[in-house]
Amino acid sequence: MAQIPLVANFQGDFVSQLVAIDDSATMAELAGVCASHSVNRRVAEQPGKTLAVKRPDDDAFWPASTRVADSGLTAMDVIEVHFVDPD
Amino acid sequence: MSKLDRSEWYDLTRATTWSPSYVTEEQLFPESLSGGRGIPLEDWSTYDEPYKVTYPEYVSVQREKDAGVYSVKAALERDKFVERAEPGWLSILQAHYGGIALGEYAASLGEARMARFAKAPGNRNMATFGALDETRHGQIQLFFPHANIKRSHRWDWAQKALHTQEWAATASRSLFDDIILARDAVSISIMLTFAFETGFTNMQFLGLAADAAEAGDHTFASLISSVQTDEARHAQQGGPALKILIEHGKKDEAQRLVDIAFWRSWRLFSVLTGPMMDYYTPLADRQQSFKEFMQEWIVDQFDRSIKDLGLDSPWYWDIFLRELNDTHHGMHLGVWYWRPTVWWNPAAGASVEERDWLEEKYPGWNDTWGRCWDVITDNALRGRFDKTLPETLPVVCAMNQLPILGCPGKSDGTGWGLRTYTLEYGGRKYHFGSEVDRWIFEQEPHHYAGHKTLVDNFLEGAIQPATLEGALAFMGLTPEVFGEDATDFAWIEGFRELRKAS
Repeated sequence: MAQIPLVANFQGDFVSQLVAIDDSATMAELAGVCASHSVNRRVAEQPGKTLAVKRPDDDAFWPASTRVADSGLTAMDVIEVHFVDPD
Repeated sequence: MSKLDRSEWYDLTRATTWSPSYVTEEQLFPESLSGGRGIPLEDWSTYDEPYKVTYPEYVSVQREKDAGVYSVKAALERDKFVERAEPGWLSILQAHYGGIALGEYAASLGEARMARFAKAPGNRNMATFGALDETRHGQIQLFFPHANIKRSHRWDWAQKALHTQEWAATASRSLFDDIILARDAVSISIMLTFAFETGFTNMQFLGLAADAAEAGDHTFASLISSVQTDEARHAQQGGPALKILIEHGKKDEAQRLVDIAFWRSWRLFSVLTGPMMDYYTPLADRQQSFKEFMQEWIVDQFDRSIKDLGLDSPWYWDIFLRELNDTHHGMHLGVWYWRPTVWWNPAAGASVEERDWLEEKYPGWNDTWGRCWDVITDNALRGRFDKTLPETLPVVCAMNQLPILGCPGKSDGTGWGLRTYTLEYGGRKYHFGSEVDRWIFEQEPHHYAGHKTLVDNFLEGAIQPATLEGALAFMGLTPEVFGEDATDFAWIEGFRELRKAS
């Protein structure tokens, strides 16, 4: 287990933020940590939606259960967190 | 013996120069300090500064200027404007003095470098006066706030700010180190005097003076408009240098220097002047919006002066024009949200009436930036002030040291403009707030690659403890200067009334 810092851009927020996450965490947990710094601070909740994580230039999101350690993310990579419809 | 008429001796004295015989030209004018770029000394001697002054004239005029400004200050001290000024106005003063006073001193060093190392004698002559000007500006913008130290330590940040690792001070220092202290004399004339001074300082010193007079702060209005009269003279040193570079086939080099300095200056102004004009200045006293001031002073006037000299608009002009709609709104939101990390009290500027004004000046503001402020307002109305303060750091641009930001997007989900521009160099990842900032880095990476941002320092363990408290201490901030909302959230009451009524 190791902590890695990431640059998090949350959909509907205006600023890139520093987020530290254990590499054993899932994408769902990572999304939750990112949300804690944006949702109900500067971004309104979107009831009925869930959160998903991707690299800025990718189209596809990681599955919620993917672990950070298996994602290929390294220190200070940039991620985007989006509200999406649940599967 | 009667004195000679000025016209009989001026041209002899303004261009005092000689051909070195005891040392080589390179020893007298080292390239790294002088920046002669292979242009012969006799060609540099054709440098013709548009504004000419003799030393006796300089002393006489400057003495009158200072007598005027200091007497206004003395007369108004009994008025105690500071004690009854709107909190947002005090924040403007505290932010201005801290961000700028020691930058003026840095500019005096830049002028001194030109005074000694410029190959053009006319430049050396003008820069001697320029060094005196900037010494005046540093001193006067330390002396004026010093009178208020008894009221609050925030005024002490006029002297302290640029000696600290506070992030806004770092952004200021990063700009001035790049366009002044780390450059040769020719580059300084172009980057400092042409791009920064003729471009942007009119905004801060004349545009803001108009707001100051409206707000009743005649001490500050008189001070900064007086400072700007000096600027109008020494800022003209860059034009003739650009002309000589272009005549010698170095237009690309000249363009690059202007493009770098203009963008870097823009980004600092977006975090200082933008919030001051659109959020801190009391609503009734706002002469124009920040975008309107920028349109008048920069987009129209400066762009014309670039073209008159034979240069092109910077390659990123369209990006810059788009940014006029958003960047400073983001800088303001960032400064306000992370307010404990600045030495002044940011005024939210987001009351009901102020938001109407913002919508008028920036159509669509309420459906973008306003949506972030909606969440903040809701939290404040519910007493959840903890949610209006941060629990992590923003990621700052490796070039301008400011938060990487963009438009939060509209309610229909479109228009989200937050993008991080990344570069890998020398095994390290660098993040930038725009493709222009990244481009600047790529021009001279060795110049910038070794710098560590606040976030780099945090990640490397230089900030201990690795908490908000540790970061505040690292930045030199002490509890009595941590920024708070300037009106203690009085601005939310209008929303409370609206909700009761509906």
